[in-house]
This record gives sequence, structure tokens and C-alpha cells, in this order.
Amino acid sequence: MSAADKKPLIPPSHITIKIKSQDDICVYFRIKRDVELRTMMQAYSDKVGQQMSAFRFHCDGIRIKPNQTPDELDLEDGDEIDAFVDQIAGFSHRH
Amino acid sequence: MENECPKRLFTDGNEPQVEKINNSCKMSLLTKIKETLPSEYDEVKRDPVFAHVFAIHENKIVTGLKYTDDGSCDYEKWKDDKGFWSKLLKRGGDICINKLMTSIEDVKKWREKDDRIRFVYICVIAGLVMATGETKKIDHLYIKMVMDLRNVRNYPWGLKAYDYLLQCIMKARSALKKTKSYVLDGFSYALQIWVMEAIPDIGTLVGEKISTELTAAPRCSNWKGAAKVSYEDIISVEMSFTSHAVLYPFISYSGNEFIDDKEFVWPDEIRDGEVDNMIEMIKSGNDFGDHVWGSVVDDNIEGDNIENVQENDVADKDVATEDMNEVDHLSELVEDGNEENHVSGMKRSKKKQSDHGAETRKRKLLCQRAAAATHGALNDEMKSFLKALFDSSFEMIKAQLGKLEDDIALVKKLVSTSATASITTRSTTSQPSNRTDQPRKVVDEMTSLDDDFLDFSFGTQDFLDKSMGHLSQPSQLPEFDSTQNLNRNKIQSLIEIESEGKHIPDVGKNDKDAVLVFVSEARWNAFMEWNMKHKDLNFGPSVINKALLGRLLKANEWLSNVDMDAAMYLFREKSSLGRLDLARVGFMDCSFGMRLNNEYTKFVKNKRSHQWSSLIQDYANGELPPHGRTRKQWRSDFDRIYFPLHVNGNHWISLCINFIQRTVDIFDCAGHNHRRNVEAFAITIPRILKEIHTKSYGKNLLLSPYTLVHVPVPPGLNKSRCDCGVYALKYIECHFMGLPMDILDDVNIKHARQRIAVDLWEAASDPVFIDRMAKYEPPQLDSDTIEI
Repeated sequence: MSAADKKPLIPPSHITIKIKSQDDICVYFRIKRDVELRTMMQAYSDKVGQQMSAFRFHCDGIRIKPNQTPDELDLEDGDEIDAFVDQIAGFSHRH
Repeated sequence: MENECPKRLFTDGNEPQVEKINNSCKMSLLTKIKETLPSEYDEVKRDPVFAHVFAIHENKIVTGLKYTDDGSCDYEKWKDDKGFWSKLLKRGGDICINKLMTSIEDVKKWREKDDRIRFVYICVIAGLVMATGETKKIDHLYIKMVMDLRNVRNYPWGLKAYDYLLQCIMKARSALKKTKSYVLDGFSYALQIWVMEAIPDIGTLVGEKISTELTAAPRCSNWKGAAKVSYEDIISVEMSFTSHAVLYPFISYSGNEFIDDKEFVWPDEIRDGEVDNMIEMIKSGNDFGDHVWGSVVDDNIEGDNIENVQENDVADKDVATEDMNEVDHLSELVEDGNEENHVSGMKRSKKKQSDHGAETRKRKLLCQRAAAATHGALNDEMKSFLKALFDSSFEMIKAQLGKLEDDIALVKKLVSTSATASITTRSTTSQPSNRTDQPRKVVDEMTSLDDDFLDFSFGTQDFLDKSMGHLSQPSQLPEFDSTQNLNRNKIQSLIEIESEGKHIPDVGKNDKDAVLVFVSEARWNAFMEWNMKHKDLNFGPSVINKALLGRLLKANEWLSNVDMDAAMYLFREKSSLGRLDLARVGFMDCSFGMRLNNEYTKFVKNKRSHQWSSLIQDYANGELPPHGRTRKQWRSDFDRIYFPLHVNGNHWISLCINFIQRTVDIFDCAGHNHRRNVEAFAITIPRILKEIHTKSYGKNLLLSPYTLVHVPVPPGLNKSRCDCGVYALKYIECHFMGLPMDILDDVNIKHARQRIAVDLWEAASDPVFIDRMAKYEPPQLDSDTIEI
């Protein structure tokens, strides 16, 4: 993976994070430790052709919010974030 | 005795009937907001303070609003944020609902999201909860309040809305004698729900109660439907009241009982002896059957004194203020056919939305009442109504018989003349299901059959067997079983256990749904045995675990995209493995629908030079969905594709896109066509095909949009309001197996849930599937690290 090759070049202020969706589409990001994750989430959603609102992002089973930073979440280099699409439905209100 | 009770406004039978009531409280406001500002609409909808108002809108039909004023907030305080509303307040400008609604398109372009959210709040407050006329200026207090949403949450909306509604009713009373129309301001829906709760019969006429049990949730969220009710309907219900009729003189949060609590006492409340008398009489079980009601307006002094009306105002106000939560003793007046009753009925007739079950509910109720009426004489309305009912029923039967005769004539003609190949095709396609939902594949294959194919000695089922041979699932045929209609909840008590794979060739008439819903006992028992162990099984994109099975097996659970994807994966793999004879049929997943709709919004912005994303092309080339990858191209390898689609945030439908016929078939158990959600597919699919096929087909591919085909389903399905996902999946199955859609109903859909669960479990434990899953390769995306 190209991300792995570049790994030694990462300055300490940055970390590489992988976001993986339910259908196993993975995208790698290099992000500053003190930048809100919102930009990364938006970029991920654009990349996989979905709307950001469609996703819930989880790290180690805990939901993460767009206004948190990697520092706040103690994210480390190489951590993986899961992106879930949660669609649940049962009826049409237009009955 | 008359002097002891409150008086009626009009004498019995002399109530005025106005043609039209102009309600200021218009739910259409919300519809418009939802269309234009969907994300803001959703956000405000989630706010608990007005959630119930939205429930009324969405269930088509009042209220759990806060009713205590703790005086802890200063609602006049607000902070300047230089936005639209701040400017308006500073300048002291006036604005009305009408103006807001006409400029709603501009609001969409506002940069500040907060201001857009405030816009929705203002519309809900000024347009519904505290509805004034559309052209009246909105009180600045409300605008100041929405500047800080905490104030909105603290404000005693229930109290204020109720007070205001009462004032408006009082105001409207002076206009009751008008024959054309009058205006009713305020949150009039609250009054309507109260009438529906107090007189359940009227409730049945107008709407449908979702749960009959009293829950902690406000009553407004518990109704759906929006029927039109005329004065005649209400009068006929009233005429048919017997001593056993169910009426609730009191409606309160704890049930239908009288509450005399200090918490609900108004500071300026005056006790009224007449009202107290009446409450005592109700408590002592008096049914007022022989009570002679006095009235405020006597026959001979029509249209007279304002004095009387005012006098009554006081009395009524007092009555109504006993309890906040729609506990009104006004119900006594209504019980006796007071004009309040008619007013609210008429009000309902203003609603424009159609309610499918309305006519049936009305007929059912009136028929029940007619049977229950002990004092013989039916009134004229009832007679004419029943006559119409019979007439329409006979007409229907006549029409059906006529159709049958035509069909027989056609068949006779076919037999007598030698059937040509073209006639064969036409009659064979119409015969199995007499619908258009027959897959085109069958049609295509049948055209190539010999002329002697049309054998009239075939029974319908034989015919189905023969014609479906190309499409049916051979692995499922052994389970055609005459016991499939048994109630599987009682399955434990059954002694006889079916042996797995036992083939009963003689399929009875009632068994036509077996292939979709039947689970043999042996399979079910094996499944339950496994289920006890609580072991998780990987299955393609999903994991068969407790949560997934819980959603599938419990009748009141909604299905999620994980469940839908698992079922689609099963279809995909079964056709890849040849277990379904559907080599040229593809099955996509839930993400596909979402992605394409998303791509469509981008496409609309720039039609000429739009580049289709690699992900969409991956779907068209069979690289996606990754689980059970087919590597088959649309159009060249697949004739049609199926997939489920999540619409309106709460509903599953399914689609079939046919590249040969150039159609998009829509399967929806609610019977809507979802044009807005589906047109993306009709427009983009031909373009995507062109994109991927230009090399091999040249530039000859058509770009015209596909035709939307709304596949008819029986009305009134999904009463549990939980089964749309199951319907969506089973409709796909129905369609590719060439079965009629009306095979599924609210009874066998419960069994269909079990069938899906068992099918998934069986496949997940199947070594062939396990082997294929082990070879799974995740999709490759150009994986350069994105720098942020």
C-alpha cells in the first residue's frame, strides 16, 4: 500500500488514518493532530459518492463527532475508523 | 333540571351548517417547508418541543406540549447575531406567514443555517401552534424567542396554544350563523383530536388509531389518516348512538377520567355551579338520555343578543379551563349533537390529502351502527347510503362478471381458430397472473416456444409450473407443501414433523405463496436450535447475529440496510451459483441506490460535461457490490437489475431496471410511485450504459430516459407499519419468479420474515457459500493518501 511506503515521511504533527466503509471501500488520510475531523469526513464522503449525513463514524466502537480532533480522541498513526451507513425503515407516512 | 346544566348554543336540530371553515392552522405549511428545506425540517422535527406537531403532519392528521410556566426565563431577551431575524427585530419590521411562504425559495439560499432553522420554527409557531391569519403580522415575542432555542423549549406552548385556541373558538362563535364561511384561528387540530378521542366513532370516521392502548405519548401522535367527513356523516353517527355507545366525557393524560388538580387551575378561574352539577351527574353515571337541554339561542329569537353569547362565553371558558390536557367538559355538549361537533367535522373536510381507507372505514362504521340501532327506523341518509353501498358492490360484481365473460369468449375464439404464434404470446403472458408484472424474460422465452405450447388442458397451477420452470428456484421447489398455511407460532404444538426435502407435487390452491414464505418445520427447528446457541455467522456484507435476526423475526421491527444487503447478497450468490436460474439478472445493494441518487444531484448541475464516478461505473461493470462480485456488465451480461431503495428516511421500496425494455419497475407496498426518488435512475442509467458501452456498441445507444412503471399492489398493505422492508425484498423475489404481486399480504408477510431469516442462516452455514466468502477480495479504490 502506498500509504505504508510514505509512512516514514510523516512529520510528527500528522497521522495517517484509514476509513473503511461497510462495503470495504478504504480511503487513507493524512491529517494534522489538532484539526477537526469534519474535513476528513467530508472528503471521505465525497470520495465514496455519498452524503456525509448518511454516515456514522466509529473508532473502536465509539462514535466520533465531526468537531473532535485526533488529539482529543487519542488517535494514533495507522488507526482505523469505520464508516457505517444506517438506513432503517418500516413504513411510509404518506398513508 | 335544565337550569342546572350548561346550555347548548342552539336547539337540537337547529344547528347551522356552514359551508367552509377557514382554518388558520394549516398543515400544508409543513409540507411546503419539507419540500424546500428538508434538512432544516428534519432538524426542527427532532427537537422534542414540537415533535408532536410534526407527528400530526406526518400521520396526516393534538398535544404533548409543555403546559407549566415556571417563569424561569426572560423570553424577551435576545442576542444580536446580525442575521435576517436580528435585523428584522432591530428595525421593528413586520412580517407575516404569507410573506414568509412566498419567499421560501430565497430562504433556501440564506447562508446562515441557524436563520433557516429559525425560519422553520417561526413557521411552526406562527403558522400552526399559535395560528393567526396568514396575512397577520407575527408577534415579535416569538421571533425573539427563536433567537435562543432554549427559550423555545421553556415556553409553555401547551398553555398558550390552548388559551389562544379557546379565545379563537369564542371569537368564531359569533360567526357560527354565517352560511358561507368563517375563520377559525389557533391550533384547531387540537380540537379535532380531542373530538376524535372523546367520541371514538368520529375518530374512526376521520382517521385510524395507531395503537389502542393508552401510552405515555401524547394522543396526537397516535392518529393517522385524513378523511373527509360531512355533516351528514356526523349526524348519522349521532342518530345511531345507543345507550351502549362509547363516549368519553373526560380526556386526560392518565386515561379517560376526571381530573381536578390544582396544577390545572387557571389563576383567573371562576367556578361555575352549572358545570359542577354536570360533572356530578356524569360521575353518578347519568347518561342524559332523558335530559332536556336548554339553549342559549331560542328558535323564535334567532340572531339576537350578544349578551347571551357573552354570558355563555364565561361559562364555557370556565368549563374548558378545568384541565389543560384537552380535558373539557364541552364533550357533554358534543355528546348531544352540539354544533361544536359539526364545526370540527366540517373543519376536517377541508383537508385535501386523500385517505385511502376512509370510505371503507366510514362504511364499516355506519354498517355496524345500522345493525346496532335498536330504535328501528333508519334515517334517510342511512338508507341512501346503504343503497349506494349495495349498488356500488353490485356494479363491481357485474363488471367482474362481464370481464370474465369476455375472457371466456376470447379463449373460445382462440380454440376454434388456429392459434397463431403472436396470439399465443399475448394470451400466455396474460394468463398466469393477468398483470404486467410478469418478467419480460418469460415473455421472450415464450415467443420462441412452439405453437402447440398453448395447451388448454393445463390447470392454472400446471401452467405456472411449466412456464415458471425457467425461472423458479429449483432448490426451493421441494418445499411446496400443503401445510404452509399453518400458523407457525403454534408450530411447537404440532406433532407431525415434515421431513426435509419432502416433495408434495400436488400443490393446492392456497399454496401459491409457499415458495416465498413457507418454512418447513424441520428447517425451522434446526434454525431455532442454532439460534439458541447465539453464535454469529459471517454472511457477505453482513453478520447473521442476534440483532439482525431480532429485526427480521420480530413482527414490529424495522429492517435496516444491513438486513437488506444480506438478502440481496443471497440472491446474487444464488444466481451466480446457478441455484436461481437467473443468469442475466443482477442484484445491487442499498449503497448503490444512495450513491446513484447522490451522483444524480451532481449530474443535474452539470449535465453536459458530467463525469460518472468510478464507483458508479464499478457497479455497471460488476465490480461492485464487492461481496459476491459478478464481474458482469449491465446490458451485455445483465438484462435487468434489482435493488432496494431507502426513501423519505423511513421507507423501503424496491426497483427493477430493465435494460432491454428500458423500464424502471417500482415495487412499493404503500402503492406510491416515488417519482422524485426514482427519476434519477430513469435518467442516469441510459447515460451510464452509454459511458461503459461506447467502445463496443459505438455511439448508437439511446439516451432517452427509461419509462417508470408503477407495479400495482393490493391497497392497504403494511398495516403494522413495520414490514415495508420485507415487502420490498419479497416483491423482488415475486418479480423474478414471475409470481403475481398480490400473493403477499399482511398475514403471510410475517411468515416471509421467518423465511428470510431461515434462508440467510442456511446459506451462511452452507459450505459452498463459506468457501466463496473466504475468497472475497475487498474493492480497490485508487488508494493515494489524501492530505488534509
